Amino acid sequence: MENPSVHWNQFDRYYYQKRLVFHMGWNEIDLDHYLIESAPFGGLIALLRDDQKIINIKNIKTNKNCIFIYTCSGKLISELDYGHKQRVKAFGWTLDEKLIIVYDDCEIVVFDIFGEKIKTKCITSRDSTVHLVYKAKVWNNGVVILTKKNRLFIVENLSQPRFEEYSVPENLGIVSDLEILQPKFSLTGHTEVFVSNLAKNLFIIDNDQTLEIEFQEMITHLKVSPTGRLLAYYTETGNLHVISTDFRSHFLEFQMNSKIKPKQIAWCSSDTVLLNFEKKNTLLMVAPSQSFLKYEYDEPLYLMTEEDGIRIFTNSCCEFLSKVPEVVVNIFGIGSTSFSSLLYDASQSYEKESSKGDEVIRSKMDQLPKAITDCITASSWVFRRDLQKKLLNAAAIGKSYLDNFVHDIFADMCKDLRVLNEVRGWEIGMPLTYRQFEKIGIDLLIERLINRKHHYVALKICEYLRIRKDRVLVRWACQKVKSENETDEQILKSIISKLGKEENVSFASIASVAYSESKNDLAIKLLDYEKSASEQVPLLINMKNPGLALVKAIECANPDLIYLVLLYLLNNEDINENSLFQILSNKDMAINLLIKYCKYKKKDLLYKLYFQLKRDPKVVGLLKITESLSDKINLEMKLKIRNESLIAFGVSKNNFLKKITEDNIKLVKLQQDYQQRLELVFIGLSINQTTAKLLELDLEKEAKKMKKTFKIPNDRYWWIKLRALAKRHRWKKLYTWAKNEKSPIGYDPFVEICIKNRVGNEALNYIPLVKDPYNQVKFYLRLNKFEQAANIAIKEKNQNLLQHVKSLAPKNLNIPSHI
Amino acid sequence: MSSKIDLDNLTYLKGVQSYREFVEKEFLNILESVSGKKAIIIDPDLVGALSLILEIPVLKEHNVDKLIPLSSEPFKTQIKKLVFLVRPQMSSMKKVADQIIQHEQNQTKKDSVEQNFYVFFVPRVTIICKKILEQLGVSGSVIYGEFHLDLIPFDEDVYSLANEKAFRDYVLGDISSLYYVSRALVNIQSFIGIIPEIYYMGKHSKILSEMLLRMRQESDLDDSLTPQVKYLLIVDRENDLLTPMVTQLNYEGMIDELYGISHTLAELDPNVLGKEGKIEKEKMVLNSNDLLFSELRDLNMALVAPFLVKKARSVSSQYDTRKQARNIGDLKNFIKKLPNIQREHASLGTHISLTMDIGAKTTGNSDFLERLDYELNLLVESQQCDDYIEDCIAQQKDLISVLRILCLQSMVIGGFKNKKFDFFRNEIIQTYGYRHVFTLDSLEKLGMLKKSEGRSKRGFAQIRKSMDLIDENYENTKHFSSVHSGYAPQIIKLAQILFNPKQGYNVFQDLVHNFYTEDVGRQKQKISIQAKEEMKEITEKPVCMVFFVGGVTFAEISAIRILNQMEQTDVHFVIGTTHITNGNKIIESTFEKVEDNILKKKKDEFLRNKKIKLREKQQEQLQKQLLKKEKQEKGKKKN
Repeated sequence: MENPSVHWNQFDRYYYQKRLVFHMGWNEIDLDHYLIESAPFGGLIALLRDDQKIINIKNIKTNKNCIFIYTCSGKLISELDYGHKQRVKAFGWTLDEKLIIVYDDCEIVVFDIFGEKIKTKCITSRDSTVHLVYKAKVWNNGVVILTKKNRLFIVENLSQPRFEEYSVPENLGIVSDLEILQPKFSLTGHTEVFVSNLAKNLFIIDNDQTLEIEFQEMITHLKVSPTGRLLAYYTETGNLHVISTDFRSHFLEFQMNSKIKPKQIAWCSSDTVLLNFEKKNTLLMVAPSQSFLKYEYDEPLYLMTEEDGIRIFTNSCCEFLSKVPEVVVNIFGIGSTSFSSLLYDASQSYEKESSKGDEVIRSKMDQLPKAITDCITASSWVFRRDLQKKLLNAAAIGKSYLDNFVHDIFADMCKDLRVLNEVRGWEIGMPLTYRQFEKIGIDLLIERLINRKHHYVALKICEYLRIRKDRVLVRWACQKVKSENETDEQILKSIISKLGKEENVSFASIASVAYSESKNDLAIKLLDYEKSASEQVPLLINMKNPGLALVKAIECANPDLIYLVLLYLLNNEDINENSLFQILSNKDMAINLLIKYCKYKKKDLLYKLYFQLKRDPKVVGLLKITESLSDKINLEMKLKIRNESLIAFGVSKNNFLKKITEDNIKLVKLQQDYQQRLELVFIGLSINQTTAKLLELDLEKEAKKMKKTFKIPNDRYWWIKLRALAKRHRWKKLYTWAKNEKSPIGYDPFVEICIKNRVGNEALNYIPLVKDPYNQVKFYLRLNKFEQAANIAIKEKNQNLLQHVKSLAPKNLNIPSHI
Repeated sequence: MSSKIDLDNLTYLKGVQSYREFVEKEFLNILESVSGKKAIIIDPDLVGALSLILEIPVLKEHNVDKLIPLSSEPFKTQIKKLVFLVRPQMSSMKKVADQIIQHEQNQTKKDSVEQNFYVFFVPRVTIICKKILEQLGVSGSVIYGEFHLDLIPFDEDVYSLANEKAFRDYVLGDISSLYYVSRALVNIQSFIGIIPEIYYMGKHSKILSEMLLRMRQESDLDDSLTPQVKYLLIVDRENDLLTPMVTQLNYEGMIDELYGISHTLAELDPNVLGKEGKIEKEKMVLNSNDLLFSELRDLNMALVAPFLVKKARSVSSQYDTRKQARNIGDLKNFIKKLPNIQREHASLGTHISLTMDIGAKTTGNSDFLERLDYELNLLVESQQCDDYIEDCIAQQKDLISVLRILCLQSMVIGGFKNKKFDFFRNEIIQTYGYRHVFTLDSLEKLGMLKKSEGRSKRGFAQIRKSMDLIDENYENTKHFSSVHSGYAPQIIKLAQILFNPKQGYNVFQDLVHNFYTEDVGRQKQKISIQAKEEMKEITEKPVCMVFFVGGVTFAEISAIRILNQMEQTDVHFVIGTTHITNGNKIIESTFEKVEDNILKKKKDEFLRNKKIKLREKQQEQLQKQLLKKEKQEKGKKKN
């Protein structure tokens, strides 16, 4: 068997290998007639007929307005109809293989690979003028557009609705090429745009500034390296330059001395530039050291840069050119003496049942672990299965000499390689290297497989690697739902048989597909399997089944979902109040939430709700009162509404509320009267406050009227009057009142209130009227009238009390110590 | 007596610690997601909560220039990024919309900065709030987000959702907040493991426990975590509205009654804390980080002063060790301890001042003592106090305090006779105003104020007897009834019964069924076999979280802490709640907020005039003084 190194080319200190990956499965495709874009990471390629090229009519495929999508092995996936209204100005891929198309009127559409529109976005400025695209570039999930009038628009992330406009220097003129530096590579965190023009300038534009550099010749091509660190540019006189993207260092100047323009410039790894001179049938590879290598081709080429190499498409095959990593060189390199190479050879001799290998391995046990990992790493790089096997076998034999080698790396590599070999096959046609696989990760790989409808392979991979498979199943089911040859019953049965026992399956998303396929019954049946109400409810609303949606929302008691249904009901013109009440009847939780909302936002609906659904006249009455208390309506209105509430209280036989409200209406009328007569604010005051205010104003007669009208108990009336007079400091009046009438609340309050108002002398008037001698003493003491206090104690014949008074009194006072 | 020491070794704390870190990290991530300088406009409701999860200086480190309380008042700022942090309440949305629209209008003017708006909902965004913002004209330029702060660790053993409106919502028949309680409890279980056994009593508790089970199925909770909390007892405030009406008599409860505690902060006048010369109110942090407070908080007020005296002696004796120091070594030891002693000294000073002020307001106040007397007579002997209540109304005492004792009596005696019922209601309306028809209606709906329906077997007297609620000897024995000077909070008593090996679930169920509610039961949550095995290996007392739907009082919290130190129970209790409440808050939540701007405007106008007059007066006086001085000086010159 041949040694892999025979296919290596030594170039600039390194070995490079150009591997044949696939013979293309397509027929009669001439790359020369197409504009081509491929998704990174061994992704699909899209071919759009280049309408600037004259083509032999024989070679034109049927549909004129379509983009052909192929795998890297040349297997046709679909003919994507991009519509015939506009011209396609640029197109490109997202990482998960969605096709982004930029039309000449600045519309951007994202398609899935079978031609379904996923998202449409149109860039228009505020004055809604239509812009025409001059040049556009698509990368990953972003788009940059330069319009014919030299305006520059950037969409950094198509999943977000924002776009930015960068201000463009006035002297931009006619642009020769445009390139972007992705935000993840730029210093500012914003997309930087490099623009070269015919006036030999290069502009670096970002969101808030523009840098202008003058060159001696016009730049025709710009290309940023895959790591974003370097920029290659090609000039009209045939000079290739490599500089750093921060424009600080210059790495390479390579003179072609030819005026033939390359068709494409591309990077292979992060330091080598490839020039595609189609007209000369050569592919030129230039290294930083200025050394170069020529590959001859007799067919048109398309180059697709990858992180660790470059894919080369011709009409007949797909190749992959990349640097040979050191571990591989160490094993297969001619004359290599590395221990990994010895281990590999030793394992070969084992195969031949020779014991020579054993001695070799035992000779350098200390280097064995590294040699083993080297063999494993090397196996990840090679594509040939026989070589993978041999390398892993070598690692396995080496491993058996060690007790403590961590098994995981070996096992993981075996698993990963099995998965990779599967997708590298012609059928799937995804020539992922191990490094690329590490970079995109298993999730994205599965996503791609699902997108391409390789559900079975995706499922098997999930099971093999033991990762969650619900996503695959759901997407499969969504496809299944669309099936037209089966009845709903059959579809449901086959979905449930496969997904029924799985956890975490979102039946709602399957149901939503069924609904969009107008299979309503199927959708509702599928929804029954959905565990999460927050998934069920929005869909049921979409399906115009608010009744069931409300039931489900209440079942899980999620107020947010209930509101979702309620708002739908309120804002939907097809639903009148009667059907609203019908849907709501007996659903207390929803009714209460609606009431809360209505109080805030839709007061007119409130009464109807209470009448129709709560059937409680008392509540209606109270509601009326709330309304009547608002200061947004005038007094007349207030009284009117309060009178209405009386009816409600009458119906509910609530005598107390009725009486209280009647009282209140009377009060308001009285207050209205006072307000007019006295030009003072009365409305809003309670009965007590009103009476007090009248007393403060010396309107005794009116106050008495209040007392009579509202049957204010005598006790309370005395309190009101006492406080009112005290407030106005009408001490004389207070005294005459107290003398002329007998207080029902005693005279303690009189004393208290005088003390509080610091009119001690007034207080002295009332102390003799206080009933309890203890309190009398207490009051006298508070006023520092020790002699009087003592007298009371003596009168009461209470020795202790007297003692107490004496202990508090100043020494100079002559308080007797005995009775 | 300290609750801190006991808790240090508990397994459940590990989960809680990771939860706390998680919440803090989430918030910092939010701050970082908005790059550059920013102002935070925050629901006043959330300021306290925020201060419990991170230090305010941390905000500065993350480029937060300003912290502005949310209101509709316009303010100007040059800061480009405005971050709103709000509760998903309809009333807050109006304010958010007002702010955004004002700032957007300013933007159209020249020389103003273009601003970005971010609205973060705590704990979750709701459809209705977004919709309302939309209706109020907030355009799509706003970026929405969520900050999942639901259960807030108030202390090591107290977790609160700090949803002050929870009880008010229940009063109005809106139980939607239960859904968020459930989300919070599911969320915390991803840190402390699945709680295997759930007990519930009460209407809302039942709904909540059912919701918990369903929600667990919907979310994929990791059931392999070792359960750090074994039991969850969900109780409903509505089943015991009597206890909060009783004055709280433990130290922390008393502080709450007199000054109010919000998110572990009490705002006090500086003279209360013995600091003179200051005018601004001082915020005092009340949690177990203050070791002295953690010893004091659960004590009955009567025991606080003696305890402080003892403490003071011990501190002064610690100072005295300096005098006894014989050599450098001793002195070094002393110096080492000094910061601790000084801290203790400072804390002691604060608490002594505070205790003195409380004393003046309580034992030194005959009104307070009178009130307490009536309360205790009601609780112990069901002795009615109609005259006292009538007097209080006649004197127009504070309505909340009047309603507290009125409701207490109604609940103790099982309702008023028809005539009395109407009389008191009429008195209240005439005295305090017509709008209180709503208050009375709500209180009636809650069963706090009612007409008697003849002799009921489920009355308080029976409960008192069957559950042995009164302990006259509370001062000598360490019993949790000390928090109300001899009356044991009913829910705590029930928790004790449930986990008392001699009584247990059946007794608990019968009592609840007979006296409180039909809705009582228990449920199990499945956990993995592995978790079950690991749980068996835990040797400490299992932990039970008592979750109060509708609020818990400080007295009840203290009662639980004391219960933890009594020997009869098999479990260690911690507390969860929708919010911390008290009698005043419960009564206040029954008040209908009426838009009576006219009165308020008048009042404002009046106050403004008063201020102006005062200023004029002051100026007059100043001038007079100046004149006097001039005259004096002139006089001097003449002399």
